Amino acid sequence: MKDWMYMHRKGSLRIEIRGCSRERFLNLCKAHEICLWNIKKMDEQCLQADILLPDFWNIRPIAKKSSSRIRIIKRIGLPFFFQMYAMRWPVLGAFLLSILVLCLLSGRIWSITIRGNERITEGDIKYYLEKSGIQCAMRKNQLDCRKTADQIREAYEDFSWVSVRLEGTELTIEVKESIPQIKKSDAQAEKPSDIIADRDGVITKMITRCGTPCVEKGDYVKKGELLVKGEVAYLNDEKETTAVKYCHADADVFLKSKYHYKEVIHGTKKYRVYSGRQYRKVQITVGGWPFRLPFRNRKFEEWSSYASYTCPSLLRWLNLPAIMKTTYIREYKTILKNQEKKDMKEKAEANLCKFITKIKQKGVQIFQNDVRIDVDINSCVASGTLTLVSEAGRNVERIPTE
Amino acid sequence: MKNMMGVPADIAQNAMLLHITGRNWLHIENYRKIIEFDAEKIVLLGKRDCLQITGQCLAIPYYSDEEMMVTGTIETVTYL
Repeated sequence: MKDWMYMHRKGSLRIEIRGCSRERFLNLCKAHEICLWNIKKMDEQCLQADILLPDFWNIRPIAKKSSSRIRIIKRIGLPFFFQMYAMRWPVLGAFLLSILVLCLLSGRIWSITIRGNERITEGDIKYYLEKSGIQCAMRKNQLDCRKTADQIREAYEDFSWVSVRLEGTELTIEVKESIPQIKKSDAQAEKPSDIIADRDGVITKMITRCGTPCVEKGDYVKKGELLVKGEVAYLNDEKETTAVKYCHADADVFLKSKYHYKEVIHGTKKYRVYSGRQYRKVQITVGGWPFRLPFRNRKFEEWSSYASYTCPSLLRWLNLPAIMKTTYIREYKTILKNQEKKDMKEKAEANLCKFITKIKQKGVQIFQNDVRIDVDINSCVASGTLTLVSEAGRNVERIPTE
Repeated sequence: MKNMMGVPADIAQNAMLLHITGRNWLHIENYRKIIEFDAEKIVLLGKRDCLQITGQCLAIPYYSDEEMMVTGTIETVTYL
């Protein structure tokens, strides 16, 4: 008995043997080394058996000798498959062409994915890769993953670890960024600068580390006023200035300033109620050329849309060089609803609380809160003044004078 | 089973060698030809004697010059 692959390659037939001397036919086949298998008796005069296609051409004399008639019931195997598709050669050609295209496309990189970057943008890394000759549609055998990883590590000092791996047609670059070291450059440290006020307010606290303070605690300063001068004067015993050294002014200055807070909540609120009716538009972009598939256009009075982008792939790792954009258009109706006074007040309080929490997270202290919430039928107004204490002052470059 | 010379009996006596697995598979070696083949009965001619197999839905999955496999529900195996 032949194996399955051999039978399909050579082709096999299911034949019907009809006659009086069926046993003689089987014995003659055995004597002529013709292989038959799956022999079954169907009725008194008939047997069915499988035979290889090359052996089938040799059974005619045997059938004649044993007075049997042979009829083909079923054809199995590649020779019959090719014979069947010989008339439909465009289908077979398209099938073979698609396999060829698949083989050609799978030899190239069609997607570059970068993971783990936070400070350095993906676009920046992709631009560097493009300059190094690594881009979509390049051949996979032209890429040396280890060498590329070394190149990226050398190009970006912030990357403490780089991994480049190729999975199917996707190039995945994984990076880990080191913790940034905050260090002032020598030029910046030596550059003389002053500290000026960046807003109006009263100074509540001031610690000067480098430079000469021009104001003191309790003084009212205006925006742009000099707070710390970037110079240190050397005095002699008579309190006379003998020399002046210019420096980068460094100080912590805290200002008490006023912030005017105002928020209006209207009594009527708009709500969107989606009707459930929607349609979608599909656009496929291949090599920068967009193709829009036909869609059934509907006219909605009010609608919103959102789009999703997907990269179609045949297998898990075999990404095709195309981007599919699906836009969903959903119909909705706007409904106006009156809010209750209690709800409006609660919302105004919640918003104020959220605002205070947010500025506290930035290191700002709330010295005084004079915000009032007034509610009437049409609106709710939260307005007033917040007195804040926060660090102020910024360095500006100064030109040293003789 | 060996004779005094140590030669297996099927070779020494040209006897048929039967392997029965359950009652559905029967493997036969050293047969000469098929005398009768039916769904209920198969008669084989050996080199010395004749073997009759009876049963239900008997079939021959494969056969060659030396060996044969019979499947189906085997009821009796008789030497004629």
